[in-house]
Amino acid sequence: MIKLYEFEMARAADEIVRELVKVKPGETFVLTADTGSDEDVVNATARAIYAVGGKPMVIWMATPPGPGRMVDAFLPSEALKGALVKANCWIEFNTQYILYSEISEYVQRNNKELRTLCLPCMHTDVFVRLFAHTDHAKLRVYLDKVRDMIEGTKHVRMTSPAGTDVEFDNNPKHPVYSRNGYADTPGTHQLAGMIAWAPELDSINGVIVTDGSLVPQFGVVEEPVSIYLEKGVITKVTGGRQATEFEQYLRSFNHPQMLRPAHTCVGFHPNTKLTGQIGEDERIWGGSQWGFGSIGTHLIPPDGIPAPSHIDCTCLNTSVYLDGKQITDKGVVIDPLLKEMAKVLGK
Amino acid sequence: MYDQALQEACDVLVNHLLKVQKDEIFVITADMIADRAVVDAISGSASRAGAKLLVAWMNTPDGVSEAADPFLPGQALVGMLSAADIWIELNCKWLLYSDVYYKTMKNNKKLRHMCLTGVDTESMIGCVGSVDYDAMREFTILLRDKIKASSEMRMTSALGEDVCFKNTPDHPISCKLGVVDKPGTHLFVGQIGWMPVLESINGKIVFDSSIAPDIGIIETPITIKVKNGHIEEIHGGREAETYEAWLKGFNHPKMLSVAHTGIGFNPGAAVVGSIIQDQRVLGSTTWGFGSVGAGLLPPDGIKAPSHSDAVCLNTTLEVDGTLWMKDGQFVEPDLALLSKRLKKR
Repeated sequence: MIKLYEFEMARAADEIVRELVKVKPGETFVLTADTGSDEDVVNATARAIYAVGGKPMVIWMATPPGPGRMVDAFLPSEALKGALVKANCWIEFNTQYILYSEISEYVQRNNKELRTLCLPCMHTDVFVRLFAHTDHAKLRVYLDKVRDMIEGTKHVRMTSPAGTDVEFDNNPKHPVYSRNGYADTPGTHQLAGMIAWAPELDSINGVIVTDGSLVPQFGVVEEPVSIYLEKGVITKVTGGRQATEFEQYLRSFNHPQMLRPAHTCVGFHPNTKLTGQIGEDERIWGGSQWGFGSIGTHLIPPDGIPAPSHIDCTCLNTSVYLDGKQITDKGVVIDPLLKEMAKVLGK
Repeated sequence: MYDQALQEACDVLVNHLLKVQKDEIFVITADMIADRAVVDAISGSASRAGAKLLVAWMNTPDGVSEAADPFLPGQALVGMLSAADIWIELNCKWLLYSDVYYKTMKNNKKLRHMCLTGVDTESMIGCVGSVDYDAMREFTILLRDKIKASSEMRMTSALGEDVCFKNTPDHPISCKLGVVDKPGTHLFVGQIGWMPVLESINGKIVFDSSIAPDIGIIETPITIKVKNGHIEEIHGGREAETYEAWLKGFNHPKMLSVAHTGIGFNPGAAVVGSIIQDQRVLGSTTWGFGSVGAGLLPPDGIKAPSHSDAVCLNTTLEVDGTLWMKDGQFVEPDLALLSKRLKKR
């Protein structure tokens, strides 16, 4: 019997291997996955790697209790590091992602040539939706433009119909990343479709109302979760049952950084929908997103800020103001230049 | 229908033989023609034992041993295996005696490597799950000590085999006693292997079971004439031609040299075309050609581009004038008695 999107999977995998990672014959390509990962996605990617002459090595492992540093003690870390420091390319399909863990930091420090693409929790339908039908070359042009605009901004405000009203300053020493999906240069890369950066943490004030998802720990929210921040620290969380669980979860680590933002993002992937899948939700067109907990070295060089774990919170239909100039209104692009560029992407 | 028996066999492997401890790093490697049911069942047993498990799948190389190296992500494999406590090798195209293998074993002196190349569900059930390990240990030690004390051997068969050779106490007798809790490379129980005095090996060997790699079960017996330990002639049918071409294709003199002989006595083993099982069939004898492991010829063995094993069934073995095996059955009184207890009841 034919499997879900069996034909389209091949195109999605080819897009990653040929266009985004640009695998060369003979390259060692490690795919990591845990027992929650989608085997069809992993194997489709391995087939595409092999087809272009790469050497795929698919490593499966048990699923840790949480992502980031929660994987370190649980997984056979030394053996994983041993494989990854000798790889040319690595795609992480783990549901409880290794990014932000000690394993990940070690591999980044010891394998400067590694091209890493983080695709945690990637499932068949998301895989096909975001890779098989996306023109990454065109999307990159758009995303890079938004990145340039944010890089040139000192003060940012985000609001939403659900009640988000948060503002902060940018820190010129913190890189602003255009997550355009390309992983053809050394470093850690992610799914295309968003701009990510760490603001000046102490300057973050206001309320973030999550009406999308809390991932990967909780999934799509049943009712909005309002997160109040003063000088970059959560002061209270209100909402329903999930708000209580979310706050309890963060405080259970008994670690100050788990109550502080790690990064913000704005999402611009033309093919996304809200599914509870971490990568896709973060990139919903016109949405914004906040991470809490550990901060990667790429966001705040050189050392990042370690914390026991990490969680991402998605807000829909965001209005974004860059130094007072509004570029999106309730998720719709209104900046004239960006509006014109978005048409190329079908938006 | 084999689910429960397979899981029990894997539990025997993990708990009884490997004695896996909590938090040990347990790596399984497999290629695209390995038996997934076995990979999954061993994974389950290892997880229940509290091991930290990694299962690494890779493409299937065109060759085995060193011939496999160019096809594999060698450095990443070595890096991973160098940090493991246990390595179960289920690759059908085995890594044993490859560059990956040698580097791993050099880097990782604590590694327990279980070479289960090509093992499928039936092999696990037959060769691991069906064995009486107390009787097996007793039998293996007895046979090992007898071989160690022997001088001259002659192997014959109804198909015309007639090969003679001398043994030397300088060459270790390699055998597995069923406990895999010590570092090094381990295999199924039920086989003894050793390297005779190379120059003393003369005569005709007739293979009628299987040949690895690539050929598998043979339909037409293959006769190999050996002079002073080296292959002089290969005769038989189409498979003989294929085998000769394979050996000579490496263009390396050691590929035409005897690497070891061996006797099989695993009561669950049957001829299935998987060498790790075929060479353990009760009453069979195996001859290896090509690279020689350091365990058989210390300190370094003999390097060659690859290694082949070929199996003869129903061998008659005469040792220093005494009959040990007749047409594949142990007849020497002590061995004959013990051999009846090897299968778990």
